Amino acid sequence: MKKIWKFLSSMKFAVALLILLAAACALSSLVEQGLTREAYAARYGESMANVLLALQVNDAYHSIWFIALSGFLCLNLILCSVIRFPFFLRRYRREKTAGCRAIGLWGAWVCHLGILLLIAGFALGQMTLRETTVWGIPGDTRRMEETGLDITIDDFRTETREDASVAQYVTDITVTDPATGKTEKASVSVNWPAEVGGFHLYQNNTGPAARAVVTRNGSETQRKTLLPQQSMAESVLGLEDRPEYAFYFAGIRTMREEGQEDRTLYLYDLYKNGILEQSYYFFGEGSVEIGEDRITFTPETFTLLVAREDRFAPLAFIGGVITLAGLAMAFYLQPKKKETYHAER
Amino acid sequence: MQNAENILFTVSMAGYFAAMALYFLFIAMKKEKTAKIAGWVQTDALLLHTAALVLRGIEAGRLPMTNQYEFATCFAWALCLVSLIFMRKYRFNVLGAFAMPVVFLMMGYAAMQSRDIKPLMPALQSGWLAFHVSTAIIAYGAFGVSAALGAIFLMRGRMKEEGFLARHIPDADRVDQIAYRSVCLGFLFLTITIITGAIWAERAWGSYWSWDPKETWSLVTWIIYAVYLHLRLRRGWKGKAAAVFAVIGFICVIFTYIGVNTFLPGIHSYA
Ligand code: HEM
Repeated sequence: MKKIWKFLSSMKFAVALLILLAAACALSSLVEQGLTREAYAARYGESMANVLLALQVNDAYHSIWFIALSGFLCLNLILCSVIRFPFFLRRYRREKTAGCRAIGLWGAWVCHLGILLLIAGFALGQMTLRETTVWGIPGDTRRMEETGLDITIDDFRTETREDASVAQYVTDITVTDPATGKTEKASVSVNWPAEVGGFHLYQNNTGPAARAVVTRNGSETQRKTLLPQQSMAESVLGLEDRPEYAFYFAGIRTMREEGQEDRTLYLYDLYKNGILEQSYYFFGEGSVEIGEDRITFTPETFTLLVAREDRFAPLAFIGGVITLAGLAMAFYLQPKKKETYHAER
Repeated sequence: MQNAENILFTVSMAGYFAAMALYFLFIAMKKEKTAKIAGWVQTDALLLHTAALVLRGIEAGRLPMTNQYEFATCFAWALCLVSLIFMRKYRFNVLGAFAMPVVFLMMGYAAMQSRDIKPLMPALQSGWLAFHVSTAIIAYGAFGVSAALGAIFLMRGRMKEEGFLARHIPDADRVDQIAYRSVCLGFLFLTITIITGAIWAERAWGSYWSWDPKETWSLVTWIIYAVYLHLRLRRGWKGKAAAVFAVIGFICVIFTYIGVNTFLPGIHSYA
């Protein structure tokens, strides 16, 4: 029994675990993560795909064996830190007379502690992570799931430089709390997340979209923002008063002609009772009439914000800083007479 | 200005080649003087190279560390600088014969990349970039030196004690010791690189660690050197096993830098 504890806390075990972990990470990085069974079968063959999926290599960093390896690593570090603590203390007391550099004798211990906190912060963060997205075009208001706050997209800009390269994407938003009616303005851009209701909002994506507005006798009856070639919810406009009709935003094409500027073509398919009735394409804005309803499609650019809440990120960060401090102590703050941080055994 | 930069780059690359040849000559001819000249040539080439980097920085209006070309030339620069420092500090000229070929190859790799100064995409416009990349360059330079020392250590075991080379290479313990010092430097800076990279990733992508291949390989590299550091604590594994890990570690460094971009998909698609 004692032997097992000894082994679990030993450096031999640590080295073995570290090598296994490095090998696991290296091999997993060669296999693209998170694909479907079909994609793996197409790439590696049916039987190999089965092996990969059985071993959870498709999601290696969250697999049982990866978590088990990390767990043993933590156990090893905890045992080693606890068991060796008296030794570190005794050695420090003995060397204290050598001056303030003796503090460096704690380097390895502090480093191990930092790594533990880092892993704990990361693991807890993964377990409690809350994530959602908010997307739309200027004028849209969406409920931000998880927080119950309403986000209105006031403006979305693509800032360019003189040479037409993109300098920044900026989304201006207004956050409304429906419970209290309180509003707050914020701006989100790449590298400059905003904080909303404990969540961090990140500028994540952009692309073409279309605004569809339905009017009857000049007054608006329906409005929706469509994304090209997405799911039912995002690229299909069903007419509320004519349930047999639905428009599908089929995508965009770029028209290139000699001596002319590129033009963008917007494609919409009209379905009646689930059967394709007609396809429309517009350069820019266009409209379709069905009876007394007029449906107008306007090209827009959508912005996608990712909202995340990781309450344990600060713990991981502190762990990282402590690791760093431990390393600096171990490498550069040793009592003079010793060249290295050799632990005598 | 880019013209001047190109000329300086080419001249310094030629200088590195000359220094490398001189270090080889020093080993072949066994003349102390040759090593001294090699040291001068290397130092002068490094100064010209520094000037090329400064010019590029001024022209671009930012630190020249944002694409494959710039990172490769900075990598070569740091490796050259760190090896020079270690050679001076430990009076260890043979190191030049092992470090300069890597410097020269890295310059060659840089020369094959596009040298256009391109405006930065939004994700790269961050104060963390300078921090992240400059610490990576120092770490990589230090790891290059320790790999060279690891190779020297492994070769030294087979050499006769009496020869000319043996006189110019410190004894095995000393080589191991110097390699250890440079791994320490590299490991500390790699740790800073990973932490600053995580902070930046959180701001730019929304998640401080997403197992992107480049992140994963920097972790693999970190773990390999952590193993190196533990192996050195065991008397039996100290020299040889540690030297092997110093070389494997540097192979991981090179793979993280070049291999990942070339072979693996990821969001780190720039340098
Ligand atoms: C995930 C990473 C790490 C793990 C799992 C780990 C684990 C261990 C274990 C189990 C021991 C044996 C303790 C004993 O002999 O009682 C040990 C010793 C040691 N480790 Fe680590 N370690 C890690 C990272 C590091 C790093 C990065 C350093 C950097 C300096 C380090 C420095 C040391 C030192 C100096 C010792 C000897 C301490 C002593 O026995 O007095 N460790 N490590």
